[in-house]
Amino acid sequence: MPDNKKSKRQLAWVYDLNKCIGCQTCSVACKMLWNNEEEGADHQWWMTVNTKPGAGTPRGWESMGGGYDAKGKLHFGRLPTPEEFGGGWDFNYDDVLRGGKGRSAHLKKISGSKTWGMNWDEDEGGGEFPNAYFFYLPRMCNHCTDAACVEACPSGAMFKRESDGLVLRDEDACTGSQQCASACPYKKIYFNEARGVSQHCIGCFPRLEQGVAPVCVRQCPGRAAFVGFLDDENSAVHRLVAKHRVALPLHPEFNTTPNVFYVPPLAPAPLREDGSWDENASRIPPNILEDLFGTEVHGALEVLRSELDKKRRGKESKVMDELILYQWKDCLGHLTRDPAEIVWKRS
Amino acid sequence: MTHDAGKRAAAAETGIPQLSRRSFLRITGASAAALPLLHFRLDAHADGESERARPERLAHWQDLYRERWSWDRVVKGSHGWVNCRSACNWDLFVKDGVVVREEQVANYQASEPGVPDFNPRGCQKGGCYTDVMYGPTRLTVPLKREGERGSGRWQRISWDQALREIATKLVDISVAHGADSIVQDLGPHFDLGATTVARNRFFGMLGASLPDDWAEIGDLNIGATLTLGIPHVGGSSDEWFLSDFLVVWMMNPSVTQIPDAHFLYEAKYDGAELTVIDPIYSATAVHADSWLPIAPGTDAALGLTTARHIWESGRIDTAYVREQTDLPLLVRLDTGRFLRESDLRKDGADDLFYLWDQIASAIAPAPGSPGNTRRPKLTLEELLPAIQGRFELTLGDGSEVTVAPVGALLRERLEPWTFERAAAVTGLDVKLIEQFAEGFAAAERPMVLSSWGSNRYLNSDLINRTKLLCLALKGAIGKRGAGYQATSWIGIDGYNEVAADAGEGAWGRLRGTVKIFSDPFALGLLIDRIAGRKSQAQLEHQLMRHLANADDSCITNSASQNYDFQGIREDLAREEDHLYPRPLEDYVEEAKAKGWMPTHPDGPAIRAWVTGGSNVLRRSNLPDRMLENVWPNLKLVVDVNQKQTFTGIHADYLLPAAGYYEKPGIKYPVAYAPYLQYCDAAVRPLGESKDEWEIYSLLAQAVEKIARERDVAPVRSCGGKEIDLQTISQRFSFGGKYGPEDAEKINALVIEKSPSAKGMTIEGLKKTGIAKFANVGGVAIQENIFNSDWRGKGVLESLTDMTKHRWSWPTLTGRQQFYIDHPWFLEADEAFPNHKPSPTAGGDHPFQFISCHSRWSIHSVWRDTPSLLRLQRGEPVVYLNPGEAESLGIRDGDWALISNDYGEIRMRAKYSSMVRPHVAYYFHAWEPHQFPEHRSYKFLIPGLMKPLHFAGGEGQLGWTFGHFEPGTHVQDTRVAIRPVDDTA
Repeated sequence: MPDNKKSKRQLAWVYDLNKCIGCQTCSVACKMLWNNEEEGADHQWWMTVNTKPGAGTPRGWESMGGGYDAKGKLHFGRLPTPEEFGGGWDFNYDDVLRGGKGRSAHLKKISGSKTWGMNWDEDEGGGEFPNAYFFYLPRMCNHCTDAACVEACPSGAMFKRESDGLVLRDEDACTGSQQCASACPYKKIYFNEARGVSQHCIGCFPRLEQGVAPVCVRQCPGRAAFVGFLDDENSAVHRLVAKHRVALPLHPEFNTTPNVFYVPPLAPAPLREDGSWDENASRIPPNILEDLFGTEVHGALEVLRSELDKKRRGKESKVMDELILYQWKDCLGHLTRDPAEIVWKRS
Repeated sequence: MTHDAGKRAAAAETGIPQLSRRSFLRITGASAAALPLLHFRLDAHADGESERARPERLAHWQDLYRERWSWDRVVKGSHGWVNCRSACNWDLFVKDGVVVREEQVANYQASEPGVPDFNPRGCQKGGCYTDVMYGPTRLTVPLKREGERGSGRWQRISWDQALREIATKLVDISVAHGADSIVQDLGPHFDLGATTVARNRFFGMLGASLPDDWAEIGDLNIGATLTLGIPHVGGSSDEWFLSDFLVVWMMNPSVTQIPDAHFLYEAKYDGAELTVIDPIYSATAVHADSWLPIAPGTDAALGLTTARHIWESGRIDTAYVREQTDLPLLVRLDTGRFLRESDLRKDGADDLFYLWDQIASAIAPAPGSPGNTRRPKLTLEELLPAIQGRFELTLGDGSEVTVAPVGALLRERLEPWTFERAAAVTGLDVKLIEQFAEGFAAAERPMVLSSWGSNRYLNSDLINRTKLLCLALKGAIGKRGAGYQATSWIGIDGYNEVAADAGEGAWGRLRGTVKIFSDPFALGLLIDRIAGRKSQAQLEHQLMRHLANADDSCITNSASQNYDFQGIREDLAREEDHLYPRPLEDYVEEAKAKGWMPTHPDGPAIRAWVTGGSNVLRRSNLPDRMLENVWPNLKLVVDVNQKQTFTGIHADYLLPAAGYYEKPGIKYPVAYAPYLQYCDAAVRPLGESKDEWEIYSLLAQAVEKIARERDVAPVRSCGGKEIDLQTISQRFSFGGKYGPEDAEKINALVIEKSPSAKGMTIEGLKKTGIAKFANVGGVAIQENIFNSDWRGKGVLESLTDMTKHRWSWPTLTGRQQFYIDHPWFLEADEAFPNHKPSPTAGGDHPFQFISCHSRWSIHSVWRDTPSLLRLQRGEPVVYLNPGEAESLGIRDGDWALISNDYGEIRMRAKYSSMVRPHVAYYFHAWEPHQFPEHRSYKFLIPGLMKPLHFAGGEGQLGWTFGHFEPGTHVQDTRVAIRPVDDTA
């Protein structure tokens, strides 16, 4: 039996926060494919994009606990409440469009949370105008190398897939204890009440089996997402993470060794009190980025700035060329197959 | 798996065997409480699909997921009817006769080496169209109103009954009031294939009025028309990547141009400087190098000071402005008018203009002047025109006058626009302005992105003229990787021809090959063009104006129609009484008297309103006035639509149109991605819905039948023309050649007759979804690229026919014009680009009510889609600056009472640090029925109309479909905001 906590290779994702436009095409694509149909999945968004700073989804997830401490001890955090996930909205279409009520009925939510939803704090941001700041943070299961959820699972249903390091759950074996969700510090695990099982991003494994990239990457119109094996020198993911060191994990202090990486955000220079530009200051307070990506973020931003400067001076920059993504297929790693070519055999 | 078997059993109980849970949920479960008559049950085999065998039990948990990502077949389609400036190729995955999901095809090529490719175009809306298609607002059966309009009570009727009753009313109304009292409202679901061919063809042949709503919805770039003669300017979006100084100036591509925005951020990575000018810290500003938080509506001041700096610092491209612009043209200082040949000699031409040749020290006819038949091109050759100085002349009548080049006068006008003065107006720091102006001046390829949304201030035309001035001074307009990007079109010439058939009908007047040869004016233009005396641009412009303005064309303007019928005259008069030398009414009456503004219907009221989804009661300003003053006169209101809208709620009949995946179509071709986007039908129309070609074929048959039964004499329409309703179906069907089932054949005809689609076939397009255009098209209303060299290879640059080939511009003077010598512009002090403050529309209230197109919808389509509402707050919100809202006592999520002189509405407040104080910000296109009492933000917006846009009689000034016309401006609106008890 292979170790259910280790894999031979690791599939990884990179999101370039300087290209993410918060359009949620990834979230919608993921939802439409995996969670739009099944009972008990209405509230599930395996892929989410939230505005930072912000409480995100589930609300306040960063302080719910989970992960490992510096000594490698697993900590269980708390489960997010349904209210913290929010949403669950149905609407009174029939009343308004066909109910014969005229102007006395308007389209509104008739169920669910009054205070939160998946993207509730969209574009709220921080700072004071004109020195407002915000950026978009796409989040999915980190398919961690040291996956707290796998260790926490009491039924042995969770495992790291040997071939690509995806963190998956045998839903036939899952007993619905939700220990995985308590242990996950990123709070990207949902509970399916109807089926009594936990569920989370499956890494689009049916697509991977066919050589097709996950929807969150393949459908990203901002060309901000990359996928590939971390050790594949031909993949952009490898180069951005390991070679150029411009892509960083989120909350490394959770100590789960996540495999989703982020190119940290630049921002326009802030204004001084007198209204002039302060080009030496950072619009996004450095501690905000440090909180998210650790102290390494400063080095990554420095690389970005110096490579940008090279381009400004008419010099070449392999880092910038990688992020420009001249050929879109280069963001797909080895997963370049066109899904429309696939013809399913009828069983 | 037991749960799966359970679901299957549940599905079986509903009597829908072999239907996936997804489709079950979508079609019946989504609104289980609905009146059953409004819904249909999908027959799993309705599409002729073969049955897909499924194991009763899936062997393993993984199989459940594998099964979900499987399909029977894939069809190339898109959302080609929605009024979206993007076009994106999608794979539609069909399982059990249901489109289960969609995913971008991503088969676009890079235009040339060294430029990023377009993939994978698309957005979250396209990614969940199936939720509109199978969603709770979808119409699938014909409905007839019960009770009052707007009551929301409906009766299901048969197609036969619906068509018979509607046709009867159309005949009755045509006989009683003239056919032009029927209005066909433009707009989605709007493609350039069979759907819109059907609508335009039917109503054209019926003699109905067609109001152009381009400017009414605030999308028309009048500033560009005044300057270039062309409102829709720009090339492919990958051209953005080639600029070294990108200015996003009144545009928010991260939100409104999702598939193209990446080129901006990639250009930045490639070393370009990216500046965003926006009163709001927008989702585009967050990715900029510099963001200028400008006070709303003050952009012209920034443009003027930048132009001054370019000039003063010696970075003006003198050779370019001499050749391409009106800066060397001489103006009489006594009258303020251009010096014309008619000033110099009796019987001289009014369209021959002059410059001062510094070599000969004498005036010379300007090359490129429309009246310069000897030198119709812009090439200067031996001439060295002055752009400074003053010169004395003797006119033909012996009088002495002083003349000066436009450049000299313009330079004087710019002189006061120091950085300090611009700072005082814009609220920007002097150094900020200086840095921006210097960056612009130093750039090699400055490019300005200015969206359709940049046209929504009353003085937007002035603002856009200043942007163009900065670019022209740098020689950037029509230069590769530089210039003005305001969204342009590739011509699908076949569309007009097929919609019209030999010049018949309103739309056809714009094409009408046959008419050209029987029309001396048109023929003269054509001969001039063939002889090289006129540019393609001039030919197109003048031909279009001539044909569309003919009395019997029935084409009119939506804003002026509102002015005449909506009951808003007094409000607009009050709003504008201090803004212009004369009352608005004076300008409108003068325009009508001089024939500058065709208005239809000719009679006292509109009697029928038939819309294809353009949702007039959602989009109009002050919709209550529409309901009070237009609606009561309407004997018939029909909405042919895939979904129920606010206008639909107030209609008499709802005819269910096939959805975007249920009929074949051709997306209108915006130049951003220069590919023809074909939309194949993935499944048959849902329920009883039908594609529009079929609907209008059947309606034409019904009208003809009734007209024949009653032996109806020819009915009157605009300009006194007579319409024979007894032959309408014969005419509509091309003499019986195309039947109701022939939508695809109509698309094939459009493609066959379009030179830009050379080599394309329907069969080929079904396989690829897209094909690159072969060229930019010919004389057609949509074509505005003016790059006759482009043959489908390389980045699509625009306007090079003028800048490289030196053909003149389609303006009064044949040049880019920074001086408009029309008497109205002179008296209003708008002859030059100028700054004028944003007037306080709606009264003097503390908040400016500013909008942006939404990330979440294309106009009202998707605005009420449950899956996307769940990604917002589920209801309309007004974005407020947190500190300011707090000081008003309004917490995030509270109701805010928003009011002005027109009344009050309620929206929930949303805190956002991106919003500046004194601004109330909202995203566009919420349906009124998403607000309490169905009162949307539109109920507070008067929509100012600029009197100068009723002007005519000179060059680019004068009503022309989609080019120059009065519109409405929403961004000047002011409101007050206060907390209100939770009444919901």
